Amino acid sequence: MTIKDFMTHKHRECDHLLANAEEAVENGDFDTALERYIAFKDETLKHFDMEEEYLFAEFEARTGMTQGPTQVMRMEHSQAKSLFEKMDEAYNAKDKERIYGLGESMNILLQQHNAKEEQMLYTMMQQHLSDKNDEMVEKLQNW
Amino acid sequence: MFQGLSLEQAPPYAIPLRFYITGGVYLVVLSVLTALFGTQIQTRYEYEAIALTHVLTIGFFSHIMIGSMFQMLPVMLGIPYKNVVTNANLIYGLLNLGAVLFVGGFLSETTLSMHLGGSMLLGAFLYFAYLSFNTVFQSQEKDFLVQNFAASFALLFVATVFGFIALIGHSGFVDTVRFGEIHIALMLFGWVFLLIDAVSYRIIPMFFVANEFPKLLKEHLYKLILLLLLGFVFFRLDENLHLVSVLKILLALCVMVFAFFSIKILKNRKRARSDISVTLWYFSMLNLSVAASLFGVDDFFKTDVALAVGFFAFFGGIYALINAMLYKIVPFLTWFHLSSSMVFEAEMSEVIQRKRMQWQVWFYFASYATFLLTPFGSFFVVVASILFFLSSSMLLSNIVGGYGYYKEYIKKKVDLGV
Ligand SMILES: [Fe+2]
Ligand SMILES: [Fe+2]
Repeated sequence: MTIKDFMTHKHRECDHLLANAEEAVENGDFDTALERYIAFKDETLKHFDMEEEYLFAEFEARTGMTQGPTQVMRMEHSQAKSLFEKMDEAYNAKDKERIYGLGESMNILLQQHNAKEEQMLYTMMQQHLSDKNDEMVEKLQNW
Repeated sequence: MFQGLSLEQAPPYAIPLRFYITGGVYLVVLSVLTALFGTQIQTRYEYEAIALTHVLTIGFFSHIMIGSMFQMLPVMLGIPYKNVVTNANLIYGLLNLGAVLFVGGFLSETTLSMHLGGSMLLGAFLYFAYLSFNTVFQSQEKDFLVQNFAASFALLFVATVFGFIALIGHSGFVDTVRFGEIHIALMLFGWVFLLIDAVSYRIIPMFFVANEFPKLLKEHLYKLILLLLLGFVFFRLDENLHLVSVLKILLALCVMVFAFFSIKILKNRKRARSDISVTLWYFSMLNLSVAASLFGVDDFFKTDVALAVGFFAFFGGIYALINAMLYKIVPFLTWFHLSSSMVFEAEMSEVIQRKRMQWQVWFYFASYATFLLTPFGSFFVVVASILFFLSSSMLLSNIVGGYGYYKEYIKKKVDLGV
């Protein structure tokens, strides 16, 4: 498995976790919704960590690029984190409309973010770090 | 090689928004023109029909499509347009001067104005097509998505040339109808349809957490369309009308297959909550299917169904899809640019109120339904136009409202000295 495939797969997993949470909201089951929302949040933050602490760091070290694409990606991670704070409030307040509104922002933010990673950053990473591919995938799997 | 993604990667907020707002203005103008001239139009060859069609296609569709490409290509393919501000301004200028002169020329029957406007439009579209075609091939991945986009831009280029020939040939040295029909086929099945399919392949699975389109469709449909259109150009020029009829059926089938899969995939999406954009999407795909089937069997009818095909394709199909897309993209862009500027108080759902979007779409549906009644009396054209005037004014005000929301929050930030 390549780094790109692994990380792309993780994006899809997170998409489903958010959809699961919204499904519970739709059914009015807010306890399950909160539980699932937390699973989504944890998984997404873990994914950001993998990238910032490990993948981006390796890429930056290899290419010497610290101000380029990885910087934009980090900035979008922090945009997502600020959305999580609001989503925490909305889920705890069981505010259905706000949950949907914020969920929509989060979804589009992540989708366009993931598209950029999958369409260009991961591809570039694959080119620059291919010699360490297996080692890196293993480390990511055990993150 | 890292130019693909930098902090300046996204175009400034003002660029897509200017295209969107201008597009909205043309739509309002269209509704007024339809009320004034709509009752007189009998065939699509009349000057008024050509003028009105182009207010919709150049004034509205192309503004939104081009503005969105400047915004979306960098996201979908990870590659920005070079000198995006200068290029966008240049294209915007040519497009608008051209559109006004061109449409004005047809309405006032002034040949010089038509030709001058036509030349500017030629410049705008050829340059945009060339620029976009080059841009997509800078992408890291040269996958089916890049190829679908490239095919769409290439056909825009050729379609524009045929349109221009039809225009200047009007004075008598070529058969305008023949070139005009090729222009329409290439624009619709090429530029518009291939752009819709490329964007859908990317957007539907991701944004709605839905299944991917079949591989066969993603990787080969555009090739089939290219081939069919090549045949269409050749045999239409050659006046081999039997083969043209066959090609029309095949082109229509391509659109219907795509519409079928997009409805099916959207129906089974995981994010189940329905919103106005999803409704518009279904509506659009149904209209495109109706338009395609009429177009496919057109030649077997005794009466001319071209106006009906145009109505279902343009007003029911493409318009609805663009309306849906605007309500996804404007709130997101506004919020995204604010939060990138460290303004975290803004919320996407406040950019355009849900109620306001719904009202606008209801007026659009009402206008659509009233247009369907026009065979029973030209009186309905006027009523439908008034309803569409209300719908398009609301659409414009919703987009402008989004822009106002952005201004308001940015100003707060400056006032606070953040
Ligand atoms: Fe990321
Ligand atoms: Fe990621």
